[in-house]
Amino acid sequence: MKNPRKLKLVVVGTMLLLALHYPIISFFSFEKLVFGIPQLFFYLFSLWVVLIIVIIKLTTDIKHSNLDREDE
Amino acid sequence: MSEWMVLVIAVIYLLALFFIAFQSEKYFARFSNNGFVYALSLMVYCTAWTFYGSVGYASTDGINFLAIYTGPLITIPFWWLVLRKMVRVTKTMRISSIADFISIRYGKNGRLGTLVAVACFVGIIPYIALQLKAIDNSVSIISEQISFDSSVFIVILLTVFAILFGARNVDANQRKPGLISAIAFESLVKLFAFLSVGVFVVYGLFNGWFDLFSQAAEKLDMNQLSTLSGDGDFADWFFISLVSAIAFLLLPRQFQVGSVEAGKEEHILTAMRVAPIYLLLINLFVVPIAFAGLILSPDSNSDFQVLSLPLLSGNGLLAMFVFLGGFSAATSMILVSTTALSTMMSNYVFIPLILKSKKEEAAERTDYHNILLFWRRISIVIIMLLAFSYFKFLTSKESLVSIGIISFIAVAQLAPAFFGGLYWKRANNKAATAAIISGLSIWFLFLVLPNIALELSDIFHNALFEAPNNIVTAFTEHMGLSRTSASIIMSLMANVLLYVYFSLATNQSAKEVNQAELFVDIYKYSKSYDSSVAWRGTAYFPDIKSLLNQFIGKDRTDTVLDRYARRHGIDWDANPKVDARVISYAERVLTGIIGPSSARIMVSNVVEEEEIGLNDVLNILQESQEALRLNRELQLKSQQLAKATEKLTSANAKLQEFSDLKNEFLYTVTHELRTPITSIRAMAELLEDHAEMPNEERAQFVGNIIYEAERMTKLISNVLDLEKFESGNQQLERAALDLKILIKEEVQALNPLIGNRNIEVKTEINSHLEPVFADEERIRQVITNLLSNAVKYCDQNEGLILITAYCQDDYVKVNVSNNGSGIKQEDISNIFDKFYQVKHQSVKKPTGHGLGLAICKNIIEMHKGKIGVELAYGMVRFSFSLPVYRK
Repeated sequence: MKNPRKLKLVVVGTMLLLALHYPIISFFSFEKLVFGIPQLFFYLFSLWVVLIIVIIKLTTDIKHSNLDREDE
Repeated sequence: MSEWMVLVIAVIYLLALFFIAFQSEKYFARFSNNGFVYALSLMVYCTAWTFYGSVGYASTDGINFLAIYTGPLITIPFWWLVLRKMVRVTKTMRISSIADFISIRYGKNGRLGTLVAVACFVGIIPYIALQLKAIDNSVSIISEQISFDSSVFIVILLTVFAILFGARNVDANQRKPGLISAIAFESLVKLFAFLSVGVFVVYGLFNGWFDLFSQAAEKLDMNQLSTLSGDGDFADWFFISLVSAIAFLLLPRQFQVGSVEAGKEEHILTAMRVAPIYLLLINLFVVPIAFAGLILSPDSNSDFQVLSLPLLSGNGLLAMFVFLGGFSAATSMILVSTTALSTMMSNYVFIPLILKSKKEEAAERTDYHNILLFWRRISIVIIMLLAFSYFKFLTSKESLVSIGIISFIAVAQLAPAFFGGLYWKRANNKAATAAIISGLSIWFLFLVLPNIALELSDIFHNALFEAPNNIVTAFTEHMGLSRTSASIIMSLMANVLLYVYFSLATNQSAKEVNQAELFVDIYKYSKSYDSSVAWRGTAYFPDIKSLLNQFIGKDRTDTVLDRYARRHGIDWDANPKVDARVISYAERVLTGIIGPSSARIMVSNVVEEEEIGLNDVLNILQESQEALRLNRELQLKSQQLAKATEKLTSANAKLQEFSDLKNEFLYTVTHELRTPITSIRAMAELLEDHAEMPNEERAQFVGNIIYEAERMTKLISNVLDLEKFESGNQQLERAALDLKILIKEEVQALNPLIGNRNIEVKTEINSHLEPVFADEERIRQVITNLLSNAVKYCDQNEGLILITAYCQDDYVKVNVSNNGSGIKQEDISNIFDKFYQVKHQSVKKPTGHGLGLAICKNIIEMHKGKIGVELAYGMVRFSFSLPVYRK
């Protein structure tokens, strides 16, 4: 993939896929509270917030680039 | 609250929706054509199933429900690649449903399109029924007594809405701003309703998150509810998130809002930001509400805890708002789904029938416009009726979630054919058909059959269904998976295997090769689409025109064809024979209205088509790309040429300017030289003619001659100096230079020049003046020049010269002011020009030549400094600044 911005998106998506499924998710799936919140619940929603921040950064980069070049 | 009251509020809400839809139909561009509305409309994904069902799901299985949202979440980073490609294909080919999409990709195959439409139908009708069930249940929970069946009223209103805004335009590919704005609004309503009930439960019924979770830890089975424990859980988590990810992009309603109704491709970027935030917010309170429900009222129907919790604590107003939230979630899903399904139904069922049954009169008819709209509306009514009857007779026992998942799995069967078609050129029609049929069969066997079996009487049940059902059960037990996971893995595996096998084992038709190429490389072809469609034959303009006339009416036909002719520079009257591009264009226009396969048939009816081979297709594709490339190169060349011309012109203008300047300069210099020469000659002649002249007089003449000769020498050396600077031949010998000393020396040297005139010289030099990096001789020249000018032009009776020097930023600034009136405001801009002063002196003829300041300017600019003049406080102030010396 020649376009580095698209490559970053693919990498983020793949990492998210791995982080959200077995086996990684099983490391967080225990019956205990972290900061008073069930551990898995805490893990999933923190990951979610991280994704939101990363996506905002990446989409801003794309918006500021030349959109016509995105076709190639 | 009585049921009547609830119904009235629901009706008022729907009327508000009508209002929003009407308003944005009017103000389309301002209202619905932006990324935020697009993002919100995508959230039609969150239906009543999300709104009510998630809590029910979480009450039994805990956090597992979240897989339905983490699936779409994982797809979000890929939207800029995949969703954007889907939008580009959809827009380029005027696709109006997912059935069109798959049918066009595999050679505009009508049968395949119908198969996709059927898959959507069997998958989605129960899902719509589910929404009706959710509305009905929520009405009965919020009402105190049930006196009549309100669901009929609501179904009728929704049907009217769908007809008004979903089947508004005969061109199904045209965007529907009213519908989309209403959906976006509903997305906001359901989000706020859910957030308010969440906040109410966590902070109103409990003392915040920690209180709630610590109580839950004591009273509930947290192992079941807050973890994914067994192997089966992880498998369910994975497979449900997989089908949810597919469903987010391919469910008919999602395809409708995500691809068909998409505006600009940039809107996808906004959606990528908004969607994860929205999904986070709407899921944040699901687990807390479920836990609260289990703690506070474990006996209520867990699917409707969102509604019962506010009611139990007597908060009727909040309950009403929550009811509206659920209502909006359900209605938005119903509206978009019926719109999407009705397009498919009319394109793949009714239109082929009409066109076939009335073939003889088809050519003469011109009112297809109305017929098409009529049948699309009929389709909406039929879909609503089917969903309503399904809701009445079948869904009594199932929870909200199970029906939803079953729908998702049905739609997931389209994924291999869809995404394969988008990225793999070898994939063909037979493969897609086999894949979808196999996947759907397994889906039916695993998930539908057991449910039907439950509803039928024992005899039928035993004879027809028990045996296969037992086999399925044994099968899933053997794999150690839930029935859901097993059916997903089995159906998708068969689906993908057959798809790959048939694609590799069978050949594509020429038409399919053409379409495969166009889909997979859409970014390459979307700009030259019409000339990339392989077609050969003979067709005439009047035929094409009358064909379009039949379907889109005379006015639009004229507009559409005129626009096309203008863009491509075609004169229909001169040459009535049309080429492949026009055919493709006409077919594209028709595709938006009657679907791809019918459009294909209609066009081939009016033109004489020739069989086209595989090689021809490849040639045509290559040619179109070649033409595009040549065109682009040509454009590039002409741009370069234009740039070169521009450069040449400006260079020429500069040359002209220089030549003018040179002429003027030469003229002035010779003029300046002639004046002293004339007087020298005159005086020399006088001396020659008058030998008897007294000695004193003679001495005076000789003195004048010497003075004039000096003036000339000075002028010539000035001119030479100036030439050196301007040609860039002058070298500077720069070193650290203390201006303080230099200025003092020069002021000392001023005394003989002042003589006995009444001139006061004041100097104010900052004692911490930093050294500058400069050529001492040259700077001395500048200061001398400025000072002697000051002496020359200051007031003749009470002269005052003020010299100041100080540091400013990274520069040392030197000002030389005098109180004369030698310069007027209008002279300021020209004073540094060569010979300027000389021509404009009103006082007596000066001794200079007007070259001094021009030389000063050159010297200072060579030092990267600045020089200027201004009138301030009744004084003329010349100033220059030089950069500070840095080691």
